[in-house]
Amino acid sequence: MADLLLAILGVLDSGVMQGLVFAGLALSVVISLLVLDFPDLSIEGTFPLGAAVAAVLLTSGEPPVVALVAAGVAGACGGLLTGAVHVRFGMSKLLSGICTAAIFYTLNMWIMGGRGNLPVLDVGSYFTWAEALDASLKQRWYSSLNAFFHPASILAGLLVVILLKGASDFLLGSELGVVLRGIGQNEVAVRQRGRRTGVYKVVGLALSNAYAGIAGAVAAQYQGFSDVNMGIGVLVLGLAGVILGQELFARLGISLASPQATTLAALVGVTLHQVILAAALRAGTPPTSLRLLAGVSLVAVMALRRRRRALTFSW
Amino acid sequence: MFGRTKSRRLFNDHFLTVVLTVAALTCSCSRAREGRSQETRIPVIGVATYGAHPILDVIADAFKAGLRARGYEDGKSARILWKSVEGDVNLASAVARSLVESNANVIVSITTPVSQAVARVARGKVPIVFCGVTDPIGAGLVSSWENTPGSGITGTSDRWPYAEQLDLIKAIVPKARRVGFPYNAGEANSRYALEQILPLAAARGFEIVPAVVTSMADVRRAAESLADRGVDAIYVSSDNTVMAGFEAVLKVAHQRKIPVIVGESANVERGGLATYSVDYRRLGDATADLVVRVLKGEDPGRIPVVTFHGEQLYLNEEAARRMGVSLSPQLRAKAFKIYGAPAASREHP
Repeated sequence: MADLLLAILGVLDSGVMQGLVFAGLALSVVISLLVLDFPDLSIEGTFPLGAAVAAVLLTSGEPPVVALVAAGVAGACGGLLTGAVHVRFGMSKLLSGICTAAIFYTLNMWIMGGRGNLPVLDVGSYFTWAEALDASLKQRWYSSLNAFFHPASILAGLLVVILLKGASDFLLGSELGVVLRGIGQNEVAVRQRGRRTGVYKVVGLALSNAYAGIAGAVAAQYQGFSDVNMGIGVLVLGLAGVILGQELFARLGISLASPQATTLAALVGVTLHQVILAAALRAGTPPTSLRLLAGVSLVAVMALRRRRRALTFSW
Repeated sequence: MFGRTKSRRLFNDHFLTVVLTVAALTCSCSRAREGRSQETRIPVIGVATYGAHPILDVIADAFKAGLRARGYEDGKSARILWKSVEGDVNLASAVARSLVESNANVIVSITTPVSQAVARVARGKVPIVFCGVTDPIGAGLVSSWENTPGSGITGTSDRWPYAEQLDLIKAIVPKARRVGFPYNAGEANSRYALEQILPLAAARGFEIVPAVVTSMADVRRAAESLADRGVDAIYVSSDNTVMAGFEAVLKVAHQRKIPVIVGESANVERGGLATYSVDYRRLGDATADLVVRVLKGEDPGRIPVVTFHGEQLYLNEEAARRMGVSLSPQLRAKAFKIYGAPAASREHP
């Protein structure tokens, strides 16, 4: 029984940690898809961009905070590109995102000095102090227990996520957020009220991709490497979290009619998704069935969703 | 909200409970299994791999056979926990953690990014044996090929016998000057290969003509562009993207009569002309050897990284005919294996 509890704790610890690492992606998808109604594929390029920028800065001795901020700025530049191409040249939403992702695939390699992979193993990272603290906590309090939990690392991850969530809640609740939401629902109406919707869209995409870049920087520091292929599938990862969270909140009867609730739902969703994956991994499912399991669990959620009336957000 | 039946509402309200229960149950199953394995005290060998791939599958089979040959049979005298990230490198940390938590006595990590994630999570807790990492120094896994005591990590590298392979081009096409090199610049191993090849090629009077691909769909175009630029031979490295679309290279090579030198024996069988090959079966076997040494208590940091040199020459007769080259009797005499007619599926209309 004690073993079982420890195993569940381990799975929760691993899943929650992964969830916090990818939380920026979920917030990015909230801003681009839910608010702006813009299915933004460029995060497949700006997530590894953030990782690449962070890896290069950390290996050249910059402090982790600088790496995180720089990754956010770099991600925002990626969003600017997507927005500019879409607004200025009238390229479709999907295509402009695909272009940015493609362009940054190459740029990311240039940033990493012409390589496709850069280790972040033996350099001080954002999690270094937290891991040291976790190690000493374990030594002092539960060294005899065969337990795997990392309260300090989780707190460190949580700190970033709280900052990210606070910033997004503030921005989405401000006038900017209201206009962005308006554009997402009825662009023409917003334009008729004298707003330059193009500029707002570019700003919204820059914001969304800044979050993706920061998520990439966190992921690189947590995983120990930056790889040019780590962007593959991150849109799905973020999207799955957002949808799962909304579904869950709707089912629990929690209102989603505020930016705070919507971002919280996304964070809970991405964490739950990662906990499911961690449980599946821990359970020793056959090595080729993990994706099947992940896919089926999402299909199940989507199938349930159809029975409900469409979710609406109004803030 | 409206007109929902009570049962549906109940189901909906308990959705989270259901999900968590399933998660908890799966945990408990695995926990129960592990409990047994601990009682009988058989070693647990955790393997974190990248997913299905022709070369990786060859390594995996040889690895399992190698463990069996050394007395570690899965389910009897050892337990092999085989976990895959299924192509998603962002899962590698979670996979590494699940192996540490499953009380693995040693963790085998296959491919560069997976090895880095495993090193990040498990270094200092569980000994690590990496496998199939072309450039373990550049990847930050070890500080030198000789390794350092206490590093807690060792492994096998599939660094290829580039010099021998370039000499092979010279032996088959003595007039060759321009050598096409299609590769995906996003793959660490290919980038490394190119860095190694450039000086070796210059010393042999070759000019390397690179052609970059980003996805399997680009491979044919890249091969045609090389043909248009008048290369005398095409040299394909361990690039996973190019290997995935290798048939497209062959098709162009047959049409334009360009010999294709590959890096690995399985691709000679697949229709490449020739290679001096790292034998991936030996790589898998050597990895098994390292695992057994570590399980017996050796310090992984005192075991140098294992590399291979190409002693085995592979040729493909049918490819030679289709690419319009002749293989000299001397070369044939040296060959470890000569493949004849390729499989019917390689026929191009």
